[in-house]
Amino acid sequence: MLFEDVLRGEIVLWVDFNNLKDDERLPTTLRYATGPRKPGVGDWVHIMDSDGDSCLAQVLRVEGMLVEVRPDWSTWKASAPRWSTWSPPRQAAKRTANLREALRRSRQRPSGGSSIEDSPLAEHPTASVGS
Amino acid sequence: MTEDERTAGGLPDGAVVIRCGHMKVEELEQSAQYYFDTHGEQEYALSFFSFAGRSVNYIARKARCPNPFIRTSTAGRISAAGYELVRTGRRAGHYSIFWSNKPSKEEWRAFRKLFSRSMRNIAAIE
Repeated sequence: MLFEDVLRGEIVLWVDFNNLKDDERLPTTLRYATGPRKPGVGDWVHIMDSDGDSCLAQVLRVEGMLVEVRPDWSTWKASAPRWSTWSPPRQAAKRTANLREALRRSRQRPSGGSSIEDSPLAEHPTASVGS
Repeated sequence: MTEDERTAGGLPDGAVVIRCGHMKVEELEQSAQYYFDTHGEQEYALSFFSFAGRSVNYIARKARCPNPFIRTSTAGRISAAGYELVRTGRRAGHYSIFWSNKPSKEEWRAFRKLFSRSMRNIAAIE
């Protein structure tokens, strides 16, 4: 989501959900923010923690490096379907690398000698190789 | 109690302490840096939750973190490793550990070993 949001020109703020206050305010820092500009009060931004859990949030306050947002839990998207060793970016990168390698190898084969069933990509029938 | 007020933790050794999320080193670094950036650039800190004599699930519900996973430890294990849990903030059961210097990655790795493997957070938003 992060890259897509940046490409769309959206503001993404890193957050730590451990810092959630009783009144649903969530303070964070601009240090790890990405986007085309500094967020302003009233803006809707994406917030994401280091595990990749994310949702939309409205900016309540901006003061120096400090930003306070109010998360919209109805947009919550948890990232982790598996247990503690799960690492979204690393696994996604590995999967993409495997698919690229499989595609490269399939292109190197002599023409006319292989079918789709022979292709390593056949192991990932639902996968698509990104551009 | 204001958000910056601190009182002695006073947790018994057996008190369960939780932190929401997987506690990856990168996350610990960023969270501690957040505190440094937004609280006068004097020290680094992380947030934890605990209620003496209460179960993991009770504490997780009180913490209200949406994260799918949490990690747990005990006050005794943390203090035995030389860290002090300090009662902070307005939220009930909210504690902090402070560092005067920025911990290295090795320190973070050692610190996270004081906690269990990730376990499901009963209070997670599905």
